[in-house]
Amino acid sequence: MSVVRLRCAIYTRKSSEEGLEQNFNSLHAQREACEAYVLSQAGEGWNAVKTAYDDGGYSGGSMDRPGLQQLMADIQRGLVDVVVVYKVDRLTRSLADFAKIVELFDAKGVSFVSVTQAFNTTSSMGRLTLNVLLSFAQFEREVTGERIRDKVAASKAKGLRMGGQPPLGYDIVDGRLAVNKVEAARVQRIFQRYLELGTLLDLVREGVEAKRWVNKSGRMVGGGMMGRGALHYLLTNPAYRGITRHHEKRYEDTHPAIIDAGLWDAVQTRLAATNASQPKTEKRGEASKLEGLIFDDRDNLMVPVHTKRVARRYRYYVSRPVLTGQGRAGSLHRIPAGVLEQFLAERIGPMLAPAWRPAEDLLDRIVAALRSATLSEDQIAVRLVADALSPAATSASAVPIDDDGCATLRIAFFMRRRGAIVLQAPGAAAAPADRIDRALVRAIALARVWAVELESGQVDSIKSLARREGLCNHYATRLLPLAYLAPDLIDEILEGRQPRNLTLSALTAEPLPLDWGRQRERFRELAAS
Amino acid sequence: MSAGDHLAGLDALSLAELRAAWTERLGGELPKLRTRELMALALAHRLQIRVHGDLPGSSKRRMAELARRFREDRGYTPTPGPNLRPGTTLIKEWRGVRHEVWVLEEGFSYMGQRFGSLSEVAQHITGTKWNGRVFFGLKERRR
Repeated sequence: MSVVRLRCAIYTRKSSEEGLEQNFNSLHAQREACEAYVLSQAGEGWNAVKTAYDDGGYSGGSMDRPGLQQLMADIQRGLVDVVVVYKVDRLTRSLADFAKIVELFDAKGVSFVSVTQAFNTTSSMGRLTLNVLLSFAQFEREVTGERIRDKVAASKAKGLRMGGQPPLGYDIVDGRLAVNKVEAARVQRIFQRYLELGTLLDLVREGVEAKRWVNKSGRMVGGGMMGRGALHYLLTNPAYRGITRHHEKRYEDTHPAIIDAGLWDAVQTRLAATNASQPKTEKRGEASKLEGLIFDDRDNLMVPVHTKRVARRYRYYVSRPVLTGQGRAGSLHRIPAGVLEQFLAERIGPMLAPAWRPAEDLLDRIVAALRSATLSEDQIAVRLVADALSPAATSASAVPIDDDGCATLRIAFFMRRRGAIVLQAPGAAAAPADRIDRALVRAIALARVWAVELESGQVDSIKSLARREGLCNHYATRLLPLAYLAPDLIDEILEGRQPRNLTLSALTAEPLPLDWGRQRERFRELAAS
Repeated sequence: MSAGDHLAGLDALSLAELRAAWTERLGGELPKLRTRELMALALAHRLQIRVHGDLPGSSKRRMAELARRFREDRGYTPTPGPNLRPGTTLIKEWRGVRHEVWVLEEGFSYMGQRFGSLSEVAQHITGTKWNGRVFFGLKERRR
């Protein structure tokens, strides 16, 4: 009689990762027992497959385990006839999951053997046994969970800490929060300082150091600078009023408070007043479609924000550093969204090829063509997919197209305060920004301030002035005369009309003449040279 | 009297003589400058301002603003402001409504009407007196 060859897959699992690094661990032990069992059934044609289906450190509560997934996949492909496990609960601890697994086994004609729990899934009695077994396994899990939850709730009601880092201002003594005097003073300062500054962001900018703490395993954790979220959490943490929180329940006077009721209420009122409540998504009205495409001239993303004032919602694109307090924002760091969107619609709209997404709304067509828009004080640089532009637009302005198939257009644009814009006349040559000598303007502007300080005695000597500004005496002495430059010459330099050869070093190379007329002559000489 | 005569001889004076000259010719409080060169420059500058006038207020304010920005930001680079050549458009959102003004050779055009100054346009839009340059954001409002 020929014996049918049965391919046996051995599946092992262990919940905790503890001990897995050992040469011979629980997984090995399970495997050996299973292999021995398969071997004992060799007469029946049983044969262990090479693949090891191991899940080290995975709970039996979920099906999300790589070894199990692999096993299920192989069963699907018909590579397995028998699944061998050490105990049933290795496969799963959840009755619902087990039903799913058994369903797959039945469909593929796979039988299932547990080495230490003898039963046969092909009979109804065997299935009942298995279900009872698993029901109890699940029951045990649930009861354990409930027991732990009840214990946590009872402990919290008594004000006991259930592990974890204590809030800044407290230490844990005998499982309770005890005031740490030094940190408590810091917490009080943070609350007061918030009231003085009035915004979380200013507080973040000032810098608040987070609690440093040695955790259970002896590692030093924390101590970084607190962000907005962390500070908000701190300022609203009822622990500082002596309250222990457990889900919705609050238990009062479980430990000493650090913040008195007056300060606490003032801070909460302030927080509530400044919190622009997020509108419900469906009420947001127009979406900020340019999200992710707008940058300032320091390459910060400008993100859409909105704020509400008297029943009217205002949308803006704002440089990220303004919101996070990290990094530096560019020269134009906030623009009303409507202004920007309309500007692009008017300026880019006519340049789009008529065939570019003709069915969509104009702004959507622009968004589809736009790769990025970089805003600075005096222009917008728009990067557009060249295919989206009409031939007339690309040829007229002779825009070069880069390797990515994009064209960059620069549009003169002056964003002024309070929603006003100046669009320069298209034909007008842009003001000669390059003619403005930054070094020269800077030297004159600073020299004028310094001169006032010296004349009034606010600063007692050039020496102390130079020290304050981080300059050497000699350099400060050389720049200071610029404060007494003739007014018309200052205007020339301000507007970039000065002679080309006039540089800061040329102008300060020799002592400045007292006479404005002579100063003008100096300008003319430099222009001629 | 030319400016040159006015300043003649200042170059040769000592610090003490310059102080005396300041008190004599300008009066008022003596600047607390302690170098001869700066004192001479300051005195000459004041005397010439008397005769020829000082930097216009707008330039003075621009200088002060620039100094503030240079100190705040080491990398600050000034850019020229917009210049209102004919053909330039001014756009202002006011109370949720967008208003567009064209700069003409002479005056301004708003909704097909001609105006002599931005202030007139601003008054037409808002119904109140406004400094036109402030309303259109060309100038910062003084606080």
